[in-house]
Amino acid sequence: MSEEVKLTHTSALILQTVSAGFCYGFDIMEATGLPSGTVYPALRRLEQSALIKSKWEKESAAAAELRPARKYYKLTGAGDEALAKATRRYPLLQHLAAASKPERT
Amino acid sequence: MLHRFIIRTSSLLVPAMVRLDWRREWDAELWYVSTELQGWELWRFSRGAIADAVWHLWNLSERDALALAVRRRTESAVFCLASIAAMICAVIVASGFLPRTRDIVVPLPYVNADRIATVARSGMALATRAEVPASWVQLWDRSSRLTEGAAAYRWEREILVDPTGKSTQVLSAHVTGRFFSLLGPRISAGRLLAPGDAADCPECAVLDYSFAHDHSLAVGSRLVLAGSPRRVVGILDKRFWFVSREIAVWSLGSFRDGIGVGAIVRLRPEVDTASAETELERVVQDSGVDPWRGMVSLTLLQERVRFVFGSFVFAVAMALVITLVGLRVRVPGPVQCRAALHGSRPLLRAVFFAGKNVLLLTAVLLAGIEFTRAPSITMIGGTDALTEPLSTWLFLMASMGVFSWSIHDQRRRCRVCHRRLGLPAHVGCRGCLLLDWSGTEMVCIHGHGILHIPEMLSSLQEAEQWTSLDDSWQGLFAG
Repeated sequence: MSEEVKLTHTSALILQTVSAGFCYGFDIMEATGLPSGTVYPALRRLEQSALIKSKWEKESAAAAELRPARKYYKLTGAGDEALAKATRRYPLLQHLAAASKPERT
Repeated sequence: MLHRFIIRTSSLLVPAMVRLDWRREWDAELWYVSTELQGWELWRFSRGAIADAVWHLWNLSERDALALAVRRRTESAVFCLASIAAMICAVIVASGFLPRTRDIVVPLPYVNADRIATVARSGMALATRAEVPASWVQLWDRSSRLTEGAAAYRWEREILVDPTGKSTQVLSAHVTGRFFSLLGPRISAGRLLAPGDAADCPECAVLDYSFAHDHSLAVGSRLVLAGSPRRVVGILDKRFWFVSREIAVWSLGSFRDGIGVGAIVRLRPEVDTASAETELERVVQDSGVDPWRGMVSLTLLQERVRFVFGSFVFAVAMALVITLVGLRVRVPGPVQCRAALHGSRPLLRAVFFAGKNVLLLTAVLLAGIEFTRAPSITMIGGTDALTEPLSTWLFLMASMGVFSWSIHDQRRRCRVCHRRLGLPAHVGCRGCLLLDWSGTEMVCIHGHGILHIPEMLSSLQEAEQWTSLDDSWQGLFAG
């Protein structure tokens, strides 16, 4: 199924950003410069296509730091493959990955 | 504050099954973002929630899942009963909270209403209830000893011109002078028509309460009814109604001899209808009318008003017989019962079937009472609208529809969990009737059994067969 997914440039960019370690919505917005109205629906589409998966941060860890728990996104195996194909299609994506590495992991 | 409002409002667009998760993520993101962004930038961020919510709204897979979840719910027995109950509520609201049903149930708004009776021609007449000649009413009023008097009434659609010059078509009743004194209704303003008005005030009229209020008419208003001037001398009480609430204007009428009219009498205390009926027939026959032409039937008005319930019960009984014969419903034999009822709860099934029918018939009864009275009067144009011709037909046809649908629905439900069966699959080849079985198979989504419905009914095959499935099949089914 995932091999058949045709990624748009924006989706590929977001996938690349998630792959680079930007793992939540606002982080991805900052890295890509895309607005929230583009990033979040794109994350939903990618998750629906099983290219990324989301996971909620542990509530106890967030509560200990007096902040709300956050939802993190991570590439799946299918996402890795799709990104590899998209990188061949959009070579500039690799430059973005090199340019923007998150400070935190 | 505004940003949270945007997120909360947008969340309404998100399907319920993912809404909580969606809102949690956006609330958390907003918390983090608000530490870094301010003003316009923060507003731009929260605006993205709308686009995200719209995406969820149009996301096909979520909609499919939602549609499936809705379909699953609509298959349940509870949903079926709730839908019918909602239909009853719709009838109640659409009718304005059952005004006509309340009119029927509560005592009529007259003094000693239990002594008011209507008189109709019977016996050899073709119609079971027919108008009586106007001259008979005068005879009864003069000569009857068992009644306090008799009065005639008749109604028709007439053009009414109000004081502003606006003309309206209304249902107008013409009565004899004793009509209101016999009935004894309450009055809201002014006075009622009196026996002496025929000579002293032939243009006097009284108005229905709602009509007077809707058209801003008061005592003293001058109207033109069917070309004749009328002066309003009274407004009837809000609760008053006689035969129909649609009658707007009550005025005195001069009934030519031989014209058919409706008749009412007030029985003296302790007088029963049978003896009064005999006396009224004797009065008519004494005036030279043949005995078989002068037969009348006398019915207490309160009973006639409630006769609608009798016609409903009659229609339901008729419909039940016709439906059972028409659908060839068979009582299952003991062997079939044991096979069919394996694992099922027959009492619950019977309760569901009975509840479904009772609720549907209640809806039919209320709709019949509330929505057919006015058309009945318009259509028959006579004086006997209380026989409810339209509602009787509606009761009969609708009751047949109720039983047919209800039995069909019951047959298409699981014998164990009473959900509607689904996933229909055609089996066999059409026309292979003699050597093979062909038809449709439907299964219970929880795997309780399979219903086999043959393509064509024949004497060789069972009409419908239910095969119970034991727990070993459960793994194959979604439920």
